[in-house]
Amino acid sequence: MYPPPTTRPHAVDLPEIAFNIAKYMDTADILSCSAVCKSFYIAFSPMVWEDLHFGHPCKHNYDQTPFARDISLKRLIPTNPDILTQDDDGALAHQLLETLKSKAQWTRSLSIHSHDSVLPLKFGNECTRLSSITMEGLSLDENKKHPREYWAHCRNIIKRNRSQLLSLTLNNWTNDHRWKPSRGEPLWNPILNCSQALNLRSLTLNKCHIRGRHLKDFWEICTRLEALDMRDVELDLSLPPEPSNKKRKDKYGTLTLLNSDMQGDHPKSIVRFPRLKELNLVRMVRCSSKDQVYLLIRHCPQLQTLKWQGMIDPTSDFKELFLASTWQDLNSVTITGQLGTYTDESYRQMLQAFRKPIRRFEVNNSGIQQETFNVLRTQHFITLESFDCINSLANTSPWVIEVLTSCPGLQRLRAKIVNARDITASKTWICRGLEEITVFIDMGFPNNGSFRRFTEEEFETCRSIFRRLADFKRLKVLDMLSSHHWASLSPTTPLDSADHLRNIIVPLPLRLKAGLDHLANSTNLEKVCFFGGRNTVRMKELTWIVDHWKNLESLKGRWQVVRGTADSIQDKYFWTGKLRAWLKDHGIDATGSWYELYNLNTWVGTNYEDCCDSEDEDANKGQ
Amino acid sequence: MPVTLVSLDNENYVVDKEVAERSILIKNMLEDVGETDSPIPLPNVTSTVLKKVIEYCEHHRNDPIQVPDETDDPRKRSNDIEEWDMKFMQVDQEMLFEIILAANYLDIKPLLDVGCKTVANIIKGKTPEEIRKAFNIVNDFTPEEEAQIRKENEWAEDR
Repeated sequence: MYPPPTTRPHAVDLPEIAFNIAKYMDTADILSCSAVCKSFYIAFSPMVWEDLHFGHPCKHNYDQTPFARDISLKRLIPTNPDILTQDDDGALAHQLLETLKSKAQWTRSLSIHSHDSVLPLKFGNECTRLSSITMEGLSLDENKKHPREYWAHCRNIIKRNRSQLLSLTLNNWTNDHRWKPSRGEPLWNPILNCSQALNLRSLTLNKCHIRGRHLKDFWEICTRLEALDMRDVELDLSLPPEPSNKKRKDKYGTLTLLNSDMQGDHPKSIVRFPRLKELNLVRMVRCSSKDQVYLLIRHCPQLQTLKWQGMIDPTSDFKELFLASTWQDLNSVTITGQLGTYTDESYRQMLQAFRKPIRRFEVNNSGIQQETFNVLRTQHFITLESFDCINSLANTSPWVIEVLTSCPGLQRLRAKIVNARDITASKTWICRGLEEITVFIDMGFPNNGSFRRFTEEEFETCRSIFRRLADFKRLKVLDMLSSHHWASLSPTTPLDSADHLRNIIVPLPLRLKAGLDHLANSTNLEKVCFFGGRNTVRMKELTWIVDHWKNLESLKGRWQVVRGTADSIQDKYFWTGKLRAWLKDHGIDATGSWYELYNLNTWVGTNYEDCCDSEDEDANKGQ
Repeated sequence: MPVTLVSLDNENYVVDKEVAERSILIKNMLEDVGETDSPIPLPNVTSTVLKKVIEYCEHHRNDPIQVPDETDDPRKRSNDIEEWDMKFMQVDQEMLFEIILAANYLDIKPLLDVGCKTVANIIKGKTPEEIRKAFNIVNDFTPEEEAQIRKENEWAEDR
């Protein structure tokens, strides 16, 4: 029935609509909504308790977990830290626990990042509808903290929720090598209670040891996983997953098992990860890259996404299996670390071996060439999320433009150099989801000595570049610095000047006068790197940046700092220490910047001028 | 081939099939029924709202169809409303919520998103009292309930 016209927004009563609205708001707004009226309370309040994080605040990915809340016990119950340990019998702690208990029915995701208190565990024991659990490890050697009691709580939480548990994250479940459990006091790990979590699809292990009987359960869980993420994990891959006793007892399973056993006695016939689609491996401990390829990655016939980091030259083994079509569905491969480098030829060979259009294929490569680019263009442009030609020696500026105008799904772009005139002549850019761009923008202005200011036309060109960059509303990383040293060495640049690094190539200046304010809506920016020199960023720009780019965490570039005593410095903000401190006060890290000291007298004496404005307005501001 | 849509108050609207199929509900109906001349009744939508919805679908007739994949497309920011959509949404609140309801019923996800973003933008940064004012809502809590909620929410506040 259609609701009669009314002043009260009935639409919000529909849970899916309230949810849809709340997706675009932060915690404070959702809390305010829940306090508006009864129907708003019913609609919005559950979302407040949906995804709770206890312990040190973790960095949420707001896009993926819009309802994540940090519960800081130390902030809420500041009186006596001892109250929080063991008993939690303080009045405030009791109140909090009661409130949490009454909300347990709404909680779907619980993350415990600290074991200072048993309060989150007591709350966890009340939850019965968790689909995602994160737990911080506590090993027996820290005996002052009652690990057995801690483990008992953890075990309970898992047992109560395992039927609908989809995702489990374990952090720091290790134990000290010098310490051995005494008899009858075995080590416990949540994995031991997950063999009956039949819906578990995603497992994340950070700094965990899996061994002994834990390993057996681990292999059993792995048969149902669709996503596995392991960082700094130690486990003995060479111990094969043995057919479990349960299967032996199963009268229907016996025959298949016998068959597989008969296939030449090698454990390879057991597929360890029959359903795994996403595998993320970072720094596996004591495990050669060959083992990782043959004992882990190879055992994932359904694999779609592989991220692999920290290995010493895994390339040849991986390539061999890859070309043998081990993974039919693979469409995203990212391998980083100390690698061997793929030549362009072998990169192309693999590119052509993908069975499906790819999203990513990021490996060290010596720089793609035209033929490889053609393969990307004909087979993969529609799905491509990442394009990297930073090692290419060719003139890649036209490639950059072509990718920007042809790849709707592009998220990451890395290239040495792009020419401003190519940008201004370019058709509409269609990759609206671009998040990371690393490229030096060569303005291509003539006679780029250090003694000239931009003309009005040149300013207009700068502004038009900023206008184009403003298309990328989701941009997080804008790096116009990293590839600068390559850009300056590109064959089109004359090397006839000793000063060419600083003076010949004119970068896009990060200046308001040059149109920086077109990026006022690029509020997702987290990291910006610029080439300074003559185009150094001033206080005016810095205040603008702080006002507009609320998510900025890092600003890196070349700053000019006048040498002299505090009194003689025109712009005292730019004295290294002050600049850093000022930025830090505003939550921006300037690490990685470097400072070019110049002596006021000599530089001014040679008519050194700033590209945009020779008057230092900041000098007044700094007073 | 044009399609005839009939609103709650029996107004007929003839639109291109391509436009009508912006609504997944209508698209599925047409697929189920096959080629048909008979008008499609939309008993949940009044003519004023339907006119507005058709205006939106006409303007966005050539947009790529959004793949309904929540996990891969987490565009959950409210500050990226297109200019045309922003103007389109400059209506009184009653209409705004009716558009949202209609978009939800007709299953036009991009319109639902724009509507919800607009509501979120109205709410952002406001106190409960200001939200009540903005939407003309009566506070139906007892003072005790209000105190209880304030207490609860204190625990959940960030930082």
